[in-house]
Amino acid sequence: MKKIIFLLILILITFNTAISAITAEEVIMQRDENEYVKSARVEATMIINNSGRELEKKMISLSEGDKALIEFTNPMDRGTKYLKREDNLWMFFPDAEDVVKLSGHMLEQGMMGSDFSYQDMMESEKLIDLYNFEIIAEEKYHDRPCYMIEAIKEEGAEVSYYRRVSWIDKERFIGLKEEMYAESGKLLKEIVVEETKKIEGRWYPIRTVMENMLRKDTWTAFIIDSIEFNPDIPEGTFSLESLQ
Amino acid sequence: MFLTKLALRNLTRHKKRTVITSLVISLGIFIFLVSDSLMVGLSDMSLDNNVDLQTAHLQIMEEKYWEKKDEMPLDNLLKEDNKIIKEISNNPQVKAYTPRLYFTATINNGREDYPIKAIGINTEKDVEVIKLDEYILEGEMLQEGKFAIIGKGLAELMDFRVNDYITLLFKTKEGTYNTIDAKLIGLLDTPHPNINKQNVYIPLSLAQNSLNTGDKVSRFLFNLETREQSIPIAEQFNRRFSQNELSLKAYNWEKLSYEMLAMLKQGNIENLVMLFIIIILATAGVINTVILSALERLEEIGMMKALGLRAREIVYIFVIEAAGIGIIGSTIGVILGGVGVYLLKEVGISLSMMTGGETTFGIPIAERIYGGWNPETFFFIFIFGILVSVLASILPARWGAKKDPVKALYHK
Repeated sequence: MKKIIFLLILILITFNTAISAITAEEVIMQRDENEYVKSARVEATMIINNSGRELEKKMISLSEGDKALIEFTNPMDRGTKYLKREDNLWMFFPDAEDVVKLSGHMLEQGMMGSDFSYQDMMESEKLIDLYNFEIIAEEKYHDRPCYMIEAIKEEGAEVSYYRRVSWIDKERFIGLKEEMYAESGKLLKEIVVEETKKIEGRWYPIRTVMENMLRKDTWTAFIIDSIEFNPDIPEGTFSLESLQ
Repeated sequence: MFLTKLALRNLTRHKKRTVITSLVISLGIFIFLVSDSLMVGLSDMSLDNNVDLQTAHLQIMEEKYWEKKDEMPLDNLLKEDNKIIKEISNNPQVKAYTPRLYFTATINNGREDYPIKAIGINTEKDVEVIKLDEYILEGEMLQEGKFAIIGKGLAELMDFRVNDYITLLFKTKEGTYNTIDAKLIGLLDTPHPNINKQNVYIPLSLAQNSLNTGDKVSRFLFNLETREQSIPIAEQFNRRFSQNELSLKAYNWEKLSYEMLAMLKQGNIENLVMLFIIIILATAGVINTVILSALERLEEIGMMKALGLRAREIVYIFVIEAAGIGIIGSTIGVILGGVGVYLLKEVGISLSMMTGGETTFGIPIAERIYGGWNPETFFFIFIFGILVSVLASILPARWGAKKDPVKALYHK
């Protein structure tokens, strides 16, 4: 009898551990799945703050898988377009009336003078192959229970940030904060999700603020004004011709 | 002889006209000599600065690196402890050599960032090739450790002082961001504005560790006994490399300064344009003088013809007169030019004064340009001044000489 009770307890403990022992990779995959959008039409506002001076830019973006087309609509930048297809990025400036492919060092620049670099915007969901993830703590962030996950670059992997620390909501599987570090350990960028919203059954970041930690008094807020999942996207939307 | 005397006397008969025409020619010559001196000075100084502070006499790098050297990539690098480099450096013409690792980065002062060219240097060997230590304005020369030295232009731009900490942000060989926090121990003030504004020097070992390049370097810089030897020595090295089937290549300072030489060539074209303007100026002056004097002296021409002088002889008189003007003009021009060039050579001219202090148009010279001395130009322009006035006088002189003596006498 004693043996049976012992066995039962053992099974119970093992079972319990198995339930709670979600791995870091699983958390990341769940987050990616939650944040992954098959296709969407987003109207958004970007507020760029530089030492108290604020610039507001409005845009409409259409995305489908790894393709996206962004068009700026505020008067100053009206007609400026970006096209992303897989790992390639093109830009169209109406004043220059020319399509430019962005590559190399240009991708490290901030998009439209913001704290989001083109590279940050380009980074796709392949992170799971490039980093080693580990849950380093479970703590509350802004009253939400979170997994604090550390990602360290795999040896030889070609990624921009050596280390990332993310706070991922335990229940909603949405990233609430992420810190990006250089190989030296210096904090380079910090992304904070300031507002989330349940849209069509899933939680989605609505207001995200990116801060370049090497520059003082600058931050960029990315605010989603409206989002429509699985919209009708006309054929040829993600072609180079559509840029001009 | 009589005709020559007559021609020379004519010069003194119309002093004002002779002086004015001569002055036009001398002004042209003066401008040409001064601008030529500036160009020679600019070219010599640019090359000297570039060779002394950037390229050295010769560089060795991978052929594939050469194609992309302006991007300062982190592939196609060389081993720092390189057997073949050691072997060829035993050449008696080689005075010193040093490895360097170039990369792009942004410098950050905690408020803003600025793109720069970062160079990892061997703190012992580098000064034997590039004498940066002679241009330390404040602080000291680079030492091993987490230290850096930068140009004064960059320091002013980013508001850095000696003993401040600078942050460099860059990507490693694998494309991952990394940073270096280094103490600024010295400020450079070199005659090369690009170095003052763009370059950040850190110890080679610090660069290699932070970029994950191991013991690799981008290039080896060589100093030879004289600059002229760089061409034959580079050829000699290249033969050695191809014998050993290596993809290394030696490039002499001329190849390394290719862009600058192209820019200086552009300057020579500008000088030709200047020469052309002088020809037009001098020609117009001489033609004007000869036509005027022919018109004024139609009666005299008629008289001379009536006395039996042939048209050829009359042309000769005018040509000699023009040659006289040419000699006077050229002499004054050369003397004035000589004084101008001497002043340029001794006192120089402030480049920032000419450009408003904002830019030097990419010319690797900071502050003052000193003129160069080119005796051949003086000789050439002297002869050229006389030739132009002689040639310019022939046509109008022929026009005057062809006049019918009767009509010419009747002219009054």
